[in-house]
Amino acid sequence: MELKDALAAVVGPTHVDPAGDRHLQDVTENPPGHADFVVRPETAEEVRALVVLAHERGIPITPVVAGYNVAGIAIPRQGGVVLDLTRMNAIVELDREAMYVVVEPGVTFGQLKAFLDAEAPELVYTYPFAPPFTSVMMNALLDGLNNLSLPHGAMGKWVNGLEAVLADGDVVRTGSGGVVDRWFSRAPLPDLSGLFVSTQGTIGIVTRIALQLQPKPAYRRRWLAFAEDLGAAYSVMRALARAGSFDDCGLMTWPAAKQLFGATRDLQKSDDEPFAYLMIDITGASQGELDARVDLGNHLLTENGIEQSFDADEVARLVPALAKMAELPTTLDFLLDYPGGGLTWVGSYGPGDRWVEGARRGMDLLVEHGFPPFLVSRPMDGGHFYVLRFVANFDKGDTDEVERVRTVMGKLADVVLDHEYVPYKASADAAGRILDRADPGFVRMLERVRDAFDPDRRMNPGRW
Amino acid sequence: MDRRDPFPRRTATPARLLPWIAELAKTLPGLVRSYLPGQALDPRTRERVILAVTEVNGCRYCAWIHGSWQDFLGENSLVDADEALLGYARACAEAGRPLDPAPLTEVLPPEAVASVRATVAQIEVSNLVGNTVDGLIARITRKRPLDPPNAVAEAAVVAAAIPLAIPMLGAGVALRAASRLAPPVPAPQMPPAGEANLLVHLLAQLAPTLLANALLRSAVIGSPVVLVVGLKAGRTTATVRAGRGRLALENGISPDVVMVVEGDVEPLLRLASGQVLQEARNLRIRRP
Repeated sequence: MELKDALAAVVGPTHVDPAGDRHLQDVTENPPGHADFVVRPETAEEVRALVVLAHERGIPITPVVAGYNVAGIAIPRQGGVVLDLTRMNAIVELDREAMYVVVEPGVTFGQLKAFLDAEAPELVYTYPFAPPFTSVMMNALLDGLNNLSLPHGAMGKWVNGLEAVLADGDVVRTGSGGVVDRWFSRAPLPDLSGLFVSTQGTIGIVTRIALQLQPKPAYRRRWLAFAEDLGAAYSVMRALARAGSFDDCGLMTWPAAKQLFGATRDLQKSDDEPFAYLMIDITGASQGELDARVDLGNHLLTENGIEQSFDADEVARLVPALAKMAELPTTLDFLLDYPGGGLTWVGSYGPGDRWVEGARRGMDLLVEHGFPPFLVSRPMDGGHFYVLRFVANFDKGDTDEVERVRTVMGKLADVVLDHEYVPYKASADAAGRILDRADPGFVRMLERVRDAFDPDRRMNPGRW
Repeated sequence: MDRRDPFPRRTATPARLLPWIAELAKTLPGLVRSYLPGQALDPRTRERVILAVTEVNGCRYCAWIHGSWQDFLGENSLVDADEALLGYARACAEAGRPLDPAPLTEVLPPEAVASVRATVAQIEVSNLVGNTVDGLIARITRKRPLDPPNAVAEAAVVAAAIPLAIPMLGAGVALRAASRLAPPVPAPQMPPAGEANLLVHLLAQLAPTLLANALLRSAVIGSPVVLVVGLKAGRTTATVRAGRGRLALENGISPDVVMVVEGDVEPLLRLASGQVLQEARNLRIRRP
C-alpha cells in the first residue's frame, strides 16, 4: 500500500496532506526541512497505529503542535511524516483534590486557562509570555519557564506523569498514574517521566500528560519596576527570590520596551532611560498577607537600589501598549509580527553568581553583531538558578541578516556555556555545543538511552 | 404613582422628597467633599453615578447638565466605576428611597461611601424637581389633567428650585461650550520610535487621557504661545512643547524649558487619572 493510503487508513484521507511551509519551517533562522506528509491524528490509538506504521516502514516521525518553540525543534530534518497533534485537544481529567490536570498535546494555554476559570476557579496553571494558541504539553516537556517558575521551577518539574507511544508502538505510562489510577506525583517511583523532558520527542510521542496545578490566591498585586544596571537587576531578583514571598520577577532589558512601543530598528537607549524592566507578581491568601508581602517587596526594592516601581495593572489600563504584558498567556505581537518575521533566541538556565557577567557578555555579543541587547530573565525555583535568554528579531528575507543571527546565536550558546549556563529548548546547533562540552559519561548515557528507545533514530531525528 | 396620571415620571412630592432630604442632611459633608480637591470620589466617577440615577428617573435637564459635565471632564480609561457602586445608585433610584449602603462598604472606604450616598441623594432631589418642571408643563399643555391643587404644589416646587436651577443650567451651557470649543488632542510629534525614550513613549500614550479635560486642553493645546516644559520622571527626562494646536515630545530637558516638573513615574501616571491636585503634591516644580 502507498504510504499516503496507509496513513489515510489510520486517520482518514482528510487528515493526510503533503507537508507545506507551515510544517517545514518556523520563525527561527533554522533552514526549512522536508517531509513527505503531515498527518493529524485525533486519538492516542491513532498515534499508536501511525508509530507502528512508521516503525514497520522505517519512516522518521517529527511531532509538532503550534511550532512556536523558537528553536527549530519541530522542523522535520530527515523527511518522513510530521505528526501534527493539534486535533488531540482534550482536557482528559481534572483532579481538584490532588490539584492536577491531564491534557492531550493539542490543549492550548488559552484553552486551559478558560477551562480552569470556569471549572476550578480556585486553581491556576502557570503561563508563559507565549501566544494563547501554543501547547501546554510541549512547553512542559521542553522544560520552559512560566510565570510561577520562580516559586515552582522550570516546567518539567510540573509534570506528574505521562502516557507515551514509544518508537515500536509500545504504549507506556509514567508517574503515579503508571501504578494507581491517580496522577498525583512522580514520587516515590523511579523517575521515568524525566526521560521525556527536554529530550525533544526523541524517546516517544507523548499522548497525554498530567500537570500540577496550584491554589489560586485571592489577592494579587503586580508591579512594574525599573533597574538602572545589571548589578541592581540581579541583586533585586536574588533578594526577591530568596525571600520566598513572591510569585514572579521577570526581567526584560530596554529594547523590549522600545519594541513594545512600535520601534523595530535603530534602537537607541538614552542615558537617562532605565536599563531593565522588572515585572513583579505578589499574591496573598488574605489582604493582610498581601499587604505584608507588599511591604516586604517595597523594602527589598529600596534596599537593592530600585528607585521606581508602580502598579502594573493601573499602567496597563492607561497605556494600551503595556496591556499586552498584563495578563498571560499573551501574544507579544511586537516579537511575532516583526518586519521580516524572524524571531530567535538562546535561552539558558544557570547559577546566579555568573549571571551579571554572562548577561553582559551576551548583550555585548548581540550589539557587536548588529542586534539590540535584548535580554529576558527571571530567577527560577526559589532562586536556585536563573535564566539568561538573549532574543533577536530579524528579517528572514535578508540572507546577510539571517547569517548574522545564525552566527551570533551560535556564539551566544558558547557564551552561556562558558558561564556555566545550559541552553534549554536547545536548537540542533546548541545541542551539539552542549554535547561537545558534556562529560563523556553524560553523552554515553544519553546515547544508551536513545539506543534503548529508538535505535534507528527515527523519532524527531536531528535532535541531540 | 397615580394610575390615572399619564405622566410617567416621578415628580417631587413631600413623601418622595423627605427620605432624600433626610439622607442629604446625614451625608452633607460627603457631598461637599465630593466637589472638593482631593476628593474620595473622583469627578468622573461622581458623574457616572449621577447619570446612572438620572437614567432611571428620566430627568432630561439633569441628563443634559451632567452629560455636559461628563463631556467636559472627558473619558479616562483609568476611571473604572465599580459595578457595585453604579448598581447601588440604580437600585436606590428604582426604589425611590435610600437603600442600605452595605454593598458599598465592602468595596469603598467610609468617606467614599458617604460621598456616593450624598451624590445619589442630591441627584435624586434634582431629578424629582426636574421631572416636576416637565410634569407642570404637561398640565399646562393639557397632556395630563390640570388638577389645580397639585399644579399649585408643583409650581411652588419649581419656583423654589429656580435660584439653583438657573445657575446649574448656566453651568451646563458653559461646560458644553467649553467642550465644543476645546481643540482636539493632536497626534504628538516625537523622535523616531527607536530613539524616543520611555518617558516620551508614555507621554504620547497618556496625552489623550492627560488632556481629556476640555479646559485643560484649551489652555494647553489652544495656548497662543508654545509652552515648553521639562519633565523628569525617575531618572528619565523629556521636554513637552504644547500650544498653537500642536504637541511635540522630545528626549531630555531642552535648554528653553520654562520649568521642570520632577517626580516619580507613578504620580505622573496618576495625574492622568484625574487626580491632578492630589498628585501634584507628589511632584516638584523647579526652574531649569
